[in-house]
Amino acid sequence: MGEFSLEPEERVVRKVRAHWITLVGSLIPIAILAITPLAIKPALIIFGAGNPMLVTLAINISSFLSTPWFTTVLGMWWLFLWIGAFNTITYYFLNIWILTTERIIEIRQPRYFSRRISSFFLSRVQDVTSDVNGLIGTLFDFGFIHVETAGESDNFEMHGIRDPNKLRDTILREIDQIHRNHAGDGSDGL
Amino acid sequence: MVARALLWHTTNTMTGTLKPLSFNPDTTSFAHLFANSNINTHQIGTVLFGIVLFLWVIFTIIAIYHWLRYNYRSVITIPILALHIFISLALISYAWVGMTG
Repeated sequence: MGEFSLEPEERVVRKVRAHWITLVGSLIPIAILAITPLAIKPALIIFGAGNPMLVTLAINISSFLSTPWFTTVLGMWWLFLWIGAFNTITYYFLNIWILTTERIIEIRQPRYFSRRISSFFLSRVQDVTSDVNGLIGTLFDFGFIHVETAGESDNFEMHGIRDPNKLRDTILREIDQIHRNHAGDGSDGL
Repeated sequence: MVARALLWHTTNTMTGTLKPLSFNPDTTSFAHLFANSNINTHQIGTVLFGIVLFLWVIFTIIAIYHWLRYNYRSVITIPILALHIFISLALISYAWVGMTG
């Protein structure tokens, strides 16, 4: 990965990102804002059919919509919205969890030039909870996973991930494997 | 055209006495706001367009830096950056058509 190094016998088991539906959900408000300028005129026609003032307003707006200025304003508006959408896509791909045979590495990028990489050893994990909630979560099988660790270190949570139950099982299986390996060498597992 | 014809029809049937409204796009454009001043609307538009373009360039450099720095091994990095450039240039061209048209 370049941002962290693996131990000699450590290998990556799984990389986890948020479910794609969460990305789509984040892009929906931007899509609504994008079509809003085009929806003003039809909305005025539909809702203003019985109101002459609204009809006049619709006619005036429609005349503005045909000017070159509107094309420029609309182009700039869409460009701003596309920048916002691309920001969302970028953050989606830059936030990731990496499960290795020894630890979980969490890479968080809440904004540009702010990147936090933290990891905790699986041998310190005390409890792993997965949760799938609501209709959309159940339909698309996404939810959150909470990993509680021993000691004073922070607990870790990741929201909107794909198939959290399977990830929990994978983490527990890796933890079990670590305990088996350490039991084999006679060490205490830490 | 159908919607516009319907509008005229609705206006006339609602009031009975109203005549069809004349269309004059210039009366509702930004140019009308500055009609009695010395401000050149084309210059204002050019400056605004330049500012937007400058912000876009800054944003694009930052975004490309992050993609290439942190996600360079991903197979989607180059396609998604190409998509960003393509869509952005298409929208910039669209806005520019309004400026020059």
